[in-house]
Amino acid sequence: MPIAYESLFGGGGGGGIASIQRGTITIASSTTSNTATISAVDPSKSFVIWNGSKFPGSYSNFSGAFASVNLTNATTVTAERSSTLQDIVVAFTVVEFS
Amino acid sequence: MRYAQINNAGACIGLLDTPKAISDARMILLGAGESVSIGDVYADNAWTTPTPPAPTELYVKRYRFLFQLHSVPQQIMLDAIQTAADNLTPAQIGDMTPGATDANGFILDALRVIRIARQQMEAIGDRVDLLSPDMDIFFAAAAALGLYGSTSPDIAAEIARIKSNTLPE
Repeated sequence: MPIAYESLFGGGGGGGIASIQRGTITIASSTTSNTATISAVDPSKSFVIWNGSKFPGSYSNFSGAFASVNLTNATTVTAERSSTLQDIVVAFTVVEFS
Repeated sequence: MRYAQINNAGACIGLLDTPKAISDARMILLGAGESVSIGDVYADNAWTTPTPPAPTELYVKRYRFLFQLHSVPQQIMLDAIQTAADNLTPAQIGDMTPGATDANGFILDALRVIRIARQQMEAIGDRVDLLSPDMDIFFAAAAALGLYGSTSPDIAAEIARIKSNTLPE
């Protein structure tokens, strides 16, 4: 039996996208994480995508460039990395379904 | 709606595009077309872009330092100076008599610095940090040997040119 779109994305009356938020957050060179404030979403109907990291200036070691992003709560995205080297700017997208 | 997220110092640490309003003291609503970058500072309802700090390191290849940043006449003189430095005898290396010179009239103090500088460059490898304190010592020694001119303004100008990684005219 084919899986209905609605059962995958919620709501029998049209489980469409309620909102998309795109943002960036800086993780400073001396830290491993930082949080970004977003407009309130329903975490149970939302997910966050990592859109890459950018580091200004020259960079010879990439271990600090990769970060994870998590929707910590309704208004917070947390970006984390394992290495503290130069500043990085982490891009993310939060998608909320209706 | 576009917001800039600021930290405790008012510096922009993030940007957000969102369809819904946010009420948070750290989220500054940006106007249509208002351009704010990471690092800009928000104070008194206005954004400013801070002046970046002066660099403290400037690495160039050793080839560039010796053969491109120095003019041809300077390269010739540097070759003579380097040759004199390489030919210092052990007695001359240890001669700390103020103002002592070699047979060419080069100050032994300065030649010793040139000699050590060459050894440091070879130890570091293929690059030179134009802004390092060691390079300042080199420049002072080379200036004392007449490499950068005979007047203080000329000497200062030449050293500044080389330290800024600017080729000679």
